[in-house]
Amino acid sequence: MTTMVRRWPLLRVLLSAHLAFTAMLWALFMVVVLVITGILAATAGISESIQHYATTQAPRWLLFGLGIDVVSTYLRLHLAHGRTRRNFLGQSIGYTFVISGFAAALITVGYLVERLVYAMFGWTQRLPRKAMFDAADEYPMMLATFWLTFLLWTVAGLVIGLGFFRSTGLGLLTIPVGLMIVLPTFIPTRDGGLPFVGEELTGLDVAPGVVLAACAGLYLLAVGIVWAIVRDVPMKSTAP
Amino acid sequence: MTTIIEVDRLSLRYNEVTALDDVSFTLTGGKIYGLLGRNGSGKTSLLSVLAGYRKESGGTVRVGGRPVFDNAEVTSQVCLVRGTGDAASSGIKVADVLTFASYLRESWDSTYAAELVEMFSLPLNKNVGALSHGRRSALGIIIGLASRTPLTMFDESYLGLDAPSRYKFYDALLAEAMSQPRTMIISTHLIEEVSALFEEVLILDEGRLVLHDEAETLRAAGSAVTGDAESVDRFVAGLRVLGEKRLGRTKSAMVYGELDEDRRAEARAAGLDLGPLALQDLFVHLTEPTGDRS
Repeated sequence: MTTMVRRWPLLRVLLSAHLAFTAMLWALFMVVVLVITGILAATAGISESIQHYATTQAPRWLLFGLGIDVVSTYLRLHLAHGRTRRNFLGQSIGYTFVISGFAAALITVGYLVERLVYAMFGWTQRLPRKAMFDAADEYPMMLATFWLTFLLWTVAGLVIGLGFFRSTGLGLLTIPVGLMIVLPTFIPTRDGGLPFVGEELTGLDVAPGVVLAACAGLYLLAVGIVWAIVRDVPMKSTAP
Repeated sequence: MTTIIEVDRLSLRYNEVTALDDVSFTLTGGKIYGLLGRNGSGKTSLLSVLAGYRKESGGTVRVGGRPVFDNAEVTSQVCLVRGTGDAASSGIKVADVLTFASYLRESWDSTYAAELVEMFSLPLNKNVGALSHGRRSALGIIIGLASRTPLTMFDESYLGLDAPSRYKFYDALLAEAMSQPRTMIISTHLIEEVSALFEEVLILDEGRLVLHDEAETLRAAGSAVTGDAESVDRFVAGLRVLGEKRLGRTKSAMVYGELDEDRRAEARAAGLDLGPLALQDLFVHLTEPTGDRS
């Protein structure tokens, strides 16, 4: 048995369940983006990055969903095999870093793929909306922006998932908490996309260090909430 | 690890409901225990505390001398399969459920699991959610048996199985108990079908332990008197009758209390057969609402 399996069994389970799934969805996403790009090129012409419209919106919801799935599917499995809640906390934290980094890397590669396609046809890959990165070829900053964003959305999914695992009442209470956790991610992506809240954050001109500090603080808060909920959470029976 | 189980003044409350109240017992381990009780008597709650699925509200629970809740040294040695099993989520393929078990459970025996998969004819490529109730039950049983944990518990895990599959389970359970001695606790409603497996029996009623004894002692605590209906009625007059069955002129009455040699001779003289007490009748008697108990 490898060290990875012995020391990080849940992480191994989660990654084997979610990495391939995420990569598959990314490939599908890229195909859709390229098809839309082709249609626009044939009708209106291309002057900016098409995928930038979507990458700051849809992928974060996938990461949020994966965070919920970690609890709704794998916490039960973890406890049923005699593992502890403390162990779940450590491995789920490791998971949030790995899955969000992996997804951010795929998105970054997507910009690179788009750049190569645009170069072939002589189009300009301009960003329609500035993010914490100013141009579509600032790959390290792009990776950092999406990693930070996805990290907070994944841990927000964990918090809300655990809330509902414990009780419906607590689950409802964790929804605004989850929203608070993801709000700072609107600043680096300059994209809110939620009704009623967060749009004013997209215009704030905040130094990257401040954004990073705010996100780190909220991540730590989220981990504290995860521990507070999971440390003695009962595993209720499911029917049948 | 020894699997001596010590439960002392255990209580478990869900909000206003008391599921377990002042339950105390000690199991020395290495046997097959039967846990019996009516619906809502607290069986699942007790097993959930023993497996660390729930934290006790009061009292203590120790396995191998150590507390259970969130204690990896203990919980890694314990496997509880409730119903069709908590380790088989509906969104996962059967093959992945077994692979994940091998990652998460250090004592997992993949070879034995593969044998059981073949025995129960489980389709590995199917999603758990697409399995019939019976096959999900079989998957839960495989998870429990192949875990090879020193303490393995089944909580009504095989109710979805058809009769031939249930007998396969009982055979596998006995073979496992002989080849890999471990402590097993089986909670069931199918008392007569499983009772032959039990070495000790615990009966819960309304969250309280009403009986804990060796199965043989319980069976000897009374007798099944069978024979001509009129002779049976005459013989059991004045005795505590737990239950009766009648087929034509033949009648069987379960009587509680030991019969001395004179009474046994009297039964033989009347042409009556004396057999061991059926655990199910004793169980029904002990868990009847107080007002109805004779």
